[in-house]
Amino acid sequence: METAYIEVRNLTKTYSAKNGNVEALKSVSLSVLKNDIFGVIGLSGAGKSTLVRCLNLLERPDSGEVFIGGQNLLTLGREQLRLRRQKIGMIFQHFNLLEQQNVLANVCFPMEIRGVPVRQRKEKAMELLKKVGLEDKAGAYPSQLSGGQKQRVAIARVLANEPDILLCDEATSALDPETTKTILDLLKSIHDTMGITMVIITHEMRVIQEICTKVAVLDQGTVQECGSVTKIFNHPKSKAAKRLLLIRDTEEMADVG
Amino acid sequence: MWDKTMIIMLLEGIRDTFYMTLASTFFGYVIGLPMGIVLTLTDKGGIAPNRTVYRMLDIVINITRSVPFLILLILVMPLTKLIVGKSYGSAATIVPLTLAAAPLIGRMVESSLKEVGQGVIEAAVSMGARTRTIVFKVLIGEARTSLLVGVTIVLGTVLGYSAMAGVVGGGGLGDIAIRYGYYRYDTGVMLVTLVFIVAIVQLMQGAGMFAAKKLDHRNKE
Ligand SMILES: Nc1ncnc2c1ncn2[C@@H]1O[C@H](COP(=O)(O)OP(=O)(O)O)[C@@H](O)[C@H]1O
Ligand SMILES: [Mg+2]
Repeated sequence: METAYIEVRNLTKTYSAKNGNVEALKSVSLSVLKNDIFGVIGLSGAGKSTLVRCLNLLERPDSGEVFIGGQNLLTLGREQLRLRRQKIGMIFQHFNLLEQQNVLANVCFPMEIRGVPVRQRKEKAMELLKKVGLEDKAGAYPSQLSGGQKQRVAIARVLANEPDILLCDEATSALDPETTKTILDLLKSIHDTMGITMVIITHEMRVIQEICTKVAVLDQGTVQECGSVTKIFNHPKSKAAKRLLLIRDTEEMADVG
Repeated sequence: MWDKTMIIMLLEGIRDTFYMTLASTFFGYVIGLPMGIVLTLTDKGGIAPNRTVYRMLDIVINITRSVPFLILLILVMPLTKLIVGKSYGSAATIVPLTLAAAPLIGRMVESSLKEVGQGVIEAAVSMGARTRTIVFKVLIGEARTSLLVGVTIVLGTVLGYSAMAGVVGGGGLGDIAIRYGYYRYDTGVMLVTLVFIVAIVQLMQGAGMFAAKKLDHRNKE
């Protein structure tokens, strides 16, 4: 049996809010194999973002363990964690680019953090911009780009540190269906050429269908079902999975009609 | 009334006003900028939350901000004398002006830095950025427009305070306005100094806003 590249065990996370506590994660366990494109799907509020943010400890779980490549992140010191994070890329729904910096500077930023010399940074950044099809936008500012282009910049930026893991939190949720497709194609080709293990968080079934190999269905902070995408799409067992399929089908009907 | 000595006096007044305002604002930022940064980092939701540090700074700022400038000026006279050697004149006024500006600047910087989106800070954390990088590149870099607008507001406020210091012989245009207008009932001189004060505020305001706009890349067409 293959060993897991990303493994979380019994993660729990409770947020305290004014009107009571929210159990965002209730003992979640998952393993992701090296090179998988692993989807996590669930409705809004299911705990998906909390889960993915625990994978690079943007959020610290209350209890449980997070193993990346066999290393327990929760035992790392501040500086070790900082260095490890440089190899765990993350892209976001709202892109999170530096608005006051141009595209080239944005892509250079992670390399600046690592202390790569300026000349090398720029060379590599241009190479990456070519890869995402934006070499002619190097001097543009994020405010001059479309959503899809911004996400491409974010993808070029995240690749600048040659991550072994890429976490995507609703990376296509702010985009229209066509742009979504091109971004997913880009992610897929990056996966195939660079061999990056990916975790894709989404509330949309079609994202999972498009690129994921495995999927976990999350609902109210617990994993309802987990397995290969084809298995879960053809034979959903949990209520949550059935409901998500129903949502997809009604949306497709609406698209046709 | 418009003889050579009067003109020289006015020119010196302008020079002294610029000198006091710019120097105090500069020293104010030397103290206030780090305060604003620490407030931003240590507040809840910041990247290094620390309730004790935040509360302490918060209280210090609130207290110093509530002392009226003229009272502060008199209160710190011993300190001023210690640093500058005398307690009147434009160099001496820089001490209370700096102390009045610093907490104001701390607050303005805090509010500017907090305008920076949580998302972009988080992105930098996820890239493994040092706190130092996040402060300079992300917080200050992204908030620069707002920070510059803050500088122009501080300059205007400090200039106003510097004119108030004229009451106790603080030097500069405010000093002239009070000496001639208040003690000698020479409304003409007072009005002229007033025009200069307004012109200087306008000038600084205009320059600050121009720079802020020039450096802002958020809404480029
Ligand atoms: N910082 C926070 N403070 C309080 N509650 C939170 C916080 N972050 C998330 N939550 C709550 O935790 C639950 C799960 O949130 P989240 O992980 O963002 O869900 P999803 O990404 O699946 O929409 C929600 O009920 C949300 O309101
Ligand atoms: Mg979410």
